[in-house]
Amino acid sequence: MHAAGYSLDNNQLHSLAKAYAKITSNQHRPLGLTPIRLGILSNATVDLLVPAIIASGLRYGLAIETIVPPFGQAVQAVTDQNSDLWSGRPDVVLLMLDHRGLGLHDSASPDRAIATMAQLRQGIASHGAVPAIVQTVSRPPEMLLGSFDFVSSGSVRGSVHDFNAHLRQVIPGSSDIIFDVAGLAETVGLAQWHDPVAWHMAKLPFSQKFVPLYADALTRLLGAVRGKTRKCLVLDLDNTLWGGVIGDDGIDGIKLGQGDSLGEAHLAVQRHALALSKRGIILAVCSKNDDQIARQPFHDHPDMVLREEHIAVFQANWVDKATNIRAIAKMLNIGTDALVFLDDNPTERHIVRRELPEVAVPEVPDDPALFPLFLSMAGYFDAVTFSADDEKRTEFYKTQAQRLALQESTSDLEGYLESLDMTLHLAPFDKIGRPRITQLINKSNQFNLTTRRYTEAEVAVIEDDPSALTLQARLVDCFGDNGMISVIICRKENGSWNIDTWLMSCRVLGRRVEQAMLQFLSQQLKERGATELLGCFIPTKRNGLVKDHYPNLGFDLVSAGNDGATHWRLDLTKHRPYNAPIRIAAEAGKFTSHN
Amino acid sequence: MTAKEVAEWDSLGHIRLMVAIEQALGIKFTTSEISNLANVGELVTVIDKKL
Repeated sequence: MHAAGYSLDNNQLHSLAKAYAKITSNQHRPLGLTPIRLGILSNATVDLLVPAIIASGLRYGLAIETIVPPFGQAVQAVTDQNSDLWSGRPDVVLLMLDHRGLGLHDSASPDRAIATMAQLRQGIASHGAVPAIVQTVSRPPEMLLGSFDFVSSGSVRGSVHDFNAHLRQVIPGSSDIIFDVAGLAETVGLAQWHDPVAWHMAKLPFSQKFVPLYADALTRLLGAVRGKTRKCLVLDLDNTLWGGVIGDDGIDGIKLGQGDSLGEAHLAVQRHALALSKRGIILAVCSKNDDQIARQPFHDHPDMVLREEHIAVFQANWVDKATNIRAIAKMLNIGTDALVFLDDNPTERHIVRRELPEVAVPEVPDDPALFPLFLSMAGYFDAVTFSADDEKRTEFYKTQAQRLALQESTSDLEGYLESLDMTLHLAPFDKIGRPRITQLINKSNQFNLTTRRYTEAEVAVIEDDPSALTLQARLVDCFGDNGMISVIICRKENGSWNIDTWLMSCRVLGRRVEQAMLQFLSQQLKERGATELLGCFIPTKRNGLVKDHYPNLGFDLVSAGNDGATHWRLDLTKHRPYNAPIRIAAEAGKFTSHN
Repeated sequence: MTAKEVAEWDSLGHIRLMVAIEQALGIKFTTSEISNLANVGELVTVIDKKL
């Protein structure tokens, strides 16, 4: 249930706690962690929990010291001024009491439990500014009269419910902190959470398999006490806030809104983000897109829930996301460790984790329907209070979807590209690839130099044309197969080779795929005796992205037409290799020369 | 081998071992199995019965 990836099981947490204890005993310098002393009062055995709590605290930058008075002596520990609890000078005291510890399991009413809780909280409060963490009680799954227990007086489940309802009344406005353990147990299932065997055997309060979950939720709360809550959610656009790619599919083609299951899933993501914004979480956008195209749905799409007024900073450009995220944090005047980054694309998540490990990047599944659950289960925005100031924070940051100028990219892009372990599979057009080639030719708008459309029949003709050299490219990286991502059609006309069509999926932009392809293409042409390669750029409303494609690759300008089209030439005799960090896999036999 | 032969072995160590085996093999021990195991040989027999 760890949504943020890198979850550790019980034994791994124990090992981590041991390693941490070893480090701290060997060196007296603090590790840059925030110290917090946690008193734990419980009616159960907590010895197996403590190492997990200490290890999980590291995740939130906490150096947790625990103070655990003897088993079953909660009230004595609080009231006795000389108890181990108070001599340990706790910063916060956890009241880890379940239905058995509060006597709710054998009582006809919640009154005694409510009185006990009041006494404990009062006792703790009398020690100055030490807040108590109060747990909601998870209902035991055993029933007497079935559903009727819920309404019958004197049932255990009814009493537990009343006790929790009482906490809803008394905790707000106090300095104490609620820890919704009942909610945690419901999320995983009460029959799973409660483990009678473990309870009878060793007084373990709940199933051992949920120790990591409990420890993570608790330490997150302690992190919030120490002000380590995240403040800003940075959102990707394509396939995160809506289905599809706005630059290619257009405003009518993206999936968003009622009537389409995928569109509804993305709408739910937007609603979740908006609800967070109303709770004081700042929203920002970070997307690989043209700024104007990316903003279009925010103005014109009727189903958009998020509008520009909800977005503090709006970064839509083609620079790497780590650089943009740094700029967002700087503009908002918060640390990058206060950011959460939600993106459907594993390679974007990878570069942000690599460049900015302190940014929280939830490892979401492919299905956007699960994004809100995974985002919320990770608990990045866990709060201990919610004030009027929090509510106003988004107002304060409301800067009308500001667009920031970027400093020179400082990310280690070369290292990142190396780490992707890319292989480019190249082949001439063939029958198997034909449908996808045709689809790309007719759908790609952004990275498309000439935007020439061909039917499947026309593509079939090109396949067999001896005066054409074609390339279909499939990119495989450490995250898997990206599928066919680029197409080139080169034709020999009047003795010169001319790039008729060159297009690429924007998913793999910034990976130097263009360079690798041109490298291969020029080799092929040289083997055919060519000395130059010609290309042209025909501008449309959507392909501004590739305006400088040819000069960036070392082509020289030949001419510029009145219609904005530009013509370019590459001298193959002087052209130097690009050394893109991409392996080329091509069967040389498939590229037989016809000339 | 019995628990007495392992230095620092205690009841909590026993519980951790039981839980780790349960999770690793996807089995569940009964209350009496957990309390009555005398040595590693018996543990193996109990596990074998469940697999």
